Amino acid sequence: MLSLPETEHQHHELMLPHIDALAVLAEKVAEGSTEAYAAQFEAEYEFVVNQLAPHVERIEEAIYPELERLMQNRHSMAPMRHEHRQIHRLIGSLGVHREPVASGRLTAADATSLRRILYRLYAILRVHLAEEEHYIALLEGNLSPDERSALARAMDHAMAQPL
Amino acid sequence: MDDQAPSALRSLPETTEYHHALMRPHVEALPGLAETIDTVRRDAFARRFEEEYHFIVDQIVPHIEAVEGAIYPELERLLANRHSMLPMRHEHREILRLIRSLGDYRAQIRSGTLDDARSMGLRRALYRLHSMFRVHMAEEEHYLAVLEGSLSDQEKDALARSLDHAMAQPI
Repeated sequence: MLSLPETEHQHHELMLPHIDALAVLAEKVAEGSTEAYAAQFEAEYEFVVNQLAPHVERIEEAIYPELERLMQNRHSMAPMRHEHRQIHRLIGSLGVHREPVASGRLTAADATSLRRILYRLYAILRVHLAEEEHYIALLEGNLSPDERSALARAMDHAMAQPL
Repeated sequence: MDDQAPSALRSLPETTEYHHALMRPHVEALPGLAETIDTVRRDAFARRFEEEYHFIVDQIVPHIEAVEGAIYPELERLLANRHSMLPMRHEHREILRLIRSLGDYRAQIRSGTLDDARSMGLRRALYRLHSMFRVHMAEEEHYLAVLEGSLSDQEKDALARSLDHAMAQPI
């Protein structure tokens, strides 16, 4: 059975190609007609809604409270929770662009806005996931094996479809 | 057209595109730089960081200031009350804030005292800067195309020259 950091790292490794794809998609938005990237947009949108968002929620519910308990008043996870709110807000904004992309009615201003969202999401996620792995390594040395296994299972069950 | 042609021989959008094309490899280097913070030798990272930091401070910052000082007022004049450049000015403030934060990390990078928390902060600043530059520069090119069709040749030449002169060293 995988340790908690290994479970988390494995999830992040599976997410990274999708996260990097957001920057690639942003460039396609700049270059071509919506037809050229509508299918990829839809695939990545499905990923962020069905895989990434549940992961973010599960981490916040299962892992952050444990970290705050361990670190007591010395450190708050508030900045990381704040980034989660930003991630959710950006995912919501992506959803607004879904129909115009699918129907080919994306204006030049919409395209700029969509690029901004995709790059912002890419930038936040690249750093946020790495930071989360640092925090989770802290848990590994401070919980009982049973507690760690329970958290690792909680992370695995967070995905709507297993990654 | 010769890449090294003086600005007077290039249109305003060409001047900006030319500057942006020279900046782009440096902008694209930022995520790679972020990924090497704790994966390459400390002195190798410090050297690369210093190169990109100097490019940003010596080349990109003057460009930002020139665009905001010379181009945005013209755009606002042309667009009258229908459109404000305020969001773009706001992005400039955010970009300059991030650049200052890079400056704050410099001493720790040089002295090798960058701890885990600061490494994360630096990674965040580099990725954020990259994401802002990528979209901001493309949006600026859109706006400049508006100017191209709306100013006299003399006005366009003057704006193109003001952009070229903005660079501490011509890029």
